[in-house]
Amino acid sequence: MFRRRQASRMTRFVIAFLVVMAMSLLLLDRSGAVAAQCRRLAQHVFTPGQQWSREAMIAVRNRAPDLRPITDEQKQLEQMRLWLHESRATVAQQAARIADLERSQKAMQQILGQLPEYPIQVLPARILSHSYVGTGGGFRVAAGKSQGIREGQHVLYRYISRGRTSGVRDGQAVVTGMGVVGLVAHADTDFSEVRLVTSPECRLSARIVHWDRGEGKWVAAPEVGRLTGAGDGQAMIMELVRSNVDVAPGDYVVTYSAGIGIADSMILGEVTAVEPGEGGLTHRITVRPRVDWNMLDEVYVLTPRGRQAK
Amino acid sequence: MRWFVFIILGWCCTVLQTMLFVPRLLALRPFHADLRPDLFVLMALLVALVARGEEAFIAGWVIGMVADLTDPGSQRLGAMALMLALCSYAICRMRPVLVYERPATQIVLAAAMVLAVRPVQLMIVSWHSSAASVGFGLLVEQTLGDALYTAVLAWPFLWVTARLATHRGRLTERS
Repeated sequence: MFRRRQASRMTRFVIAFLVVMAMSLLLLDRSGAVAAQCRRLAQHVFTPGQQWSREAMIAVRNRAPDLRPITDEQKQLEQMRLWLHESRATVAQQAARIADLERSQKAMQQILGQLPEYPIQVLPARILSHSYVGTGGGFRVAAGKSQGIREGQHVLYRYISRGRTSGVRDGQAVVTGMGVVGLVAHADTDFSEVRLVTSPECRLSARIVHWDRGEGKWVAAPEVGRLTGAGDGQAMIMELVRSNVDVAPGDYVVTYSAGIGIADSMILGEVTAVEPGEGGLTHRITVRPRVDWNMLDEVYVLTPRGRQAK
Repeated sequence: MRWFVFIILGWCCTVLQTMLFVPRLLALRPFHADLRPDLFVLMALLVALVARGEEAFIAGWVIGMVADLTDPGSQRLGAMALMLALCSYAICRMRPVLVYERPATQIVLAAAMVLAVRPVQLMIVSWHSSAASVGFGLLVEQTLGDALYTAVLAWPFLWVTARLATHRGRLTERS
């Protein structure tokens, strides 16, 4: 009984204290300083929960479909936002492409900066016609049975659309991206006759290039051989290579500039067979050109720099 | 009354009140005012329906003080604390004559509490605000809208919280 009465008294005291406190805060705290201080303290209690709930709301709002009615202005804004988003992606792609082009341009400028020092320039030319062929005896005649052309004969010469007026001279090399096509046999005023590397009349100094597994790169053998057309329109024969030189099918045969006056190490063909030569002191190497003769269309004449092409 | 659960519920209600019922989220704007329910009033109503008179007064005061602290509009503390404490105590005293287990009664009580508290709160805000005073039309609109919104949420809120905060899960538990 006494305890209950004491508790009741305590409760009334607390209630009175709360009322006085609330009235004091309401009436005396005119500047709001106490309220601000209390709010700062209360933030420590409620802010973590508010942050969690804010993150949860954002996650829900991002996933949930928007059920609110959409006005025309909101539609326009949404379309504009999508358009901006796509435009940003497009601009990013174009910026990346421009950066690539700038890198390519710098690389090209470096190459062009080095080209003036290079003694050879590349002169593009077109194969004039497929109708100029050669017989086994090396005569050039127009195609047709009436001109003596028969099956089994091979093309040994071609004509190109560049001549002396373009700076082409006899003996210059004619190439494609696959390798050497031949040499200019006769440069006329506006066209030139090209002797193909498969012609028996075409003789070139060449070297063997083989894959060195130890060093992990292609290595040119120091020995220089003589490359001659086999006369069958399909292959070339390389001779005068000593038998102690390591040659195997799959090796490449490249030009040797000191012999023909053209660029060094240009691919002539690939070794397909290696046989002992006469007397066994040298190799007799069969070389297959990498150039596809049936697909020849555009070729390049390597001319000395300084002769202006028209 | 499970006071520990009551404290946790109060904390959750405070977070929800300050985060969920803000403009552009769950606050409604049918006219000019942002209408939002008052979960503090509902918490005070819960206490008034399950606790003794003195306990209801103290709990109402605490809830009101928390409401004052978390309301950025009120520059002074104490108004909501006094109002909710008095309302809780009054409802607690009226319990013998109320059939407060019915949802309709709970809805009416919640609306009445908001109608009693909100005008005073808005007037104090307007009194202390340096801006132009709140117009009478806006005050009425805001008060009625908040009362309606709170009344709609009253029954589900009390149904859930009573099961969490009372021993037997019903509002009839009282000493």
